[in-house]
Amino acid sequence: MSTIISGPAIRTAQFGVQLIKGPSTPPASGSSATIATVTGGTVMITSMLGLVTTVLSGTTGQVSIGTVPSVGTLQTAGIASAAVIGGLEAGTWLVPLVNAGAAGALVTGGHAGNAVFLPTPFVVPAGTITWTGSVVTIVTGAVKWYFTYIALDNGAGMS
Amino acid sequence: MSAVTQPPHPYISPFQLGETMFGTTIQKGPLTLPQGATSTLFTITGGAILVTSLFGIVTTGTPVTANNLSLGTVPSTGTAESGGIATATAINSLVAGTCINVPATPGGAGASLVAPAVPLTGVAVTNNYHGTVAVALTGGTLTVPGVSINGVASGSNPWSPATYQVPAHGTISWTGSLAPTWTWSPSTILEIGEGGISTGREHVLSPGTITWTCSGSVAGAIKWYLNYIELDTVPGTEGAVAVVS
Repeated sequence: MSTIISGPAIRTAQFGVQLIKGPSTPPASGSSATIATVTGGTVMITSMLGLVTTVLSGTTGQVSIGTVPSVGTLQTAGIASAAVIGGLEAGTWLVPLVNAGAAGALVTGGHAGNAVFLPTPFVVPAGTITWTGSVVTIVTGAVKWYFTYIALDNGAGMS
Repeated sequence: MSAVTQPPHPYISPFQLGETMFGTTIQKGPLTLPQGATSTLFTITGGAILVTSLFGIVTTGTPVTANNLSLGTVPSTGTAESGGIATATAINSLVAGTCINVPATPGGAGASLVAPAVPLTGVAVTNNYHGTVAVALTGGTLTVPGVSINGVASGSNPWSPATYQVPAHGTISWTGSLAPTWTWSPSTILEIGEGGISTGREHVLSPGTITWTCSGSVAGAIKWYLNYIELDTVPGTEGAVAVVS
């Protein structure tokens, strides 16, 4: 490890402020829940990663990732369209594949041994980042979310 | 031609400057190739890491004998995947100095990508994904040059269904009388080349080991370089808990 600048300090310099949320159980089918809140302005999210910390029940439950902006129209799949996460084992990583200016798929590693690769950064205005369940409710299991972000507006932040 | 060389910074060495750009550097080897087996390259302990670069330099050339290399992980929790970072890629006939890099791919293995519509014959489509994609073409009636990547004929002659690697923001086109169908997915193969090649995409790994697997038993050695940034820190502090060795 670097002896001049600590690893976490390098992470901050390269990717911005880190926010870790959860672990929490995915919302029930047909419901949404807040993963993180953006306040004070717009942020650029330089990475968003989900880690399954407790095996997710079932085999068909899906979630999408979206936003509820303070101004404007919410989009439950505005960051990533629905993908099956039911049945994923602990240690599996998730990443929203934002691309070419539009929401993409929610990519899952399949197994804990699969790496997931970072997407391009994306912009989120003040409001909330949500996940929404569909198909069937994932009754048990949990996901821990890692964010890094940079404030585009002075005073903007995430919690 | 005149040149101006800036002297090294008196306080930050070039190596330390590299660490501020890419994180902590770990080097391994040169290591002889696994002989038809899987071996450990690096060990991750304490927490998850973000790998900012992972590549190898061939130090002892490989023979013409067929041999595939894959990179994977054995996580402390969950199922091992010997091709979890990069799937089997031919490494026969590589000369010393060749660079082997993880994929510059969006998403990772198993991700589904939304494919653009197949264009008319001779019309190029751009890969707008921020990474290399694998485009699998089937059907159709294609004529020479068949498929072109970045304007360069890349298809076999006569043409047969195949998968093509299209780099980020590169183009793909086809030539013929009947359009093929295609599917797009993230590239999962290693990027191999002499001279400069781009670094792969950052990816996240949990505690466990990073492994390399060779299908053959042949000579050859590779020196490996890994840069990483810790994702997990001691709560409430800036202390890192993840370590790679």
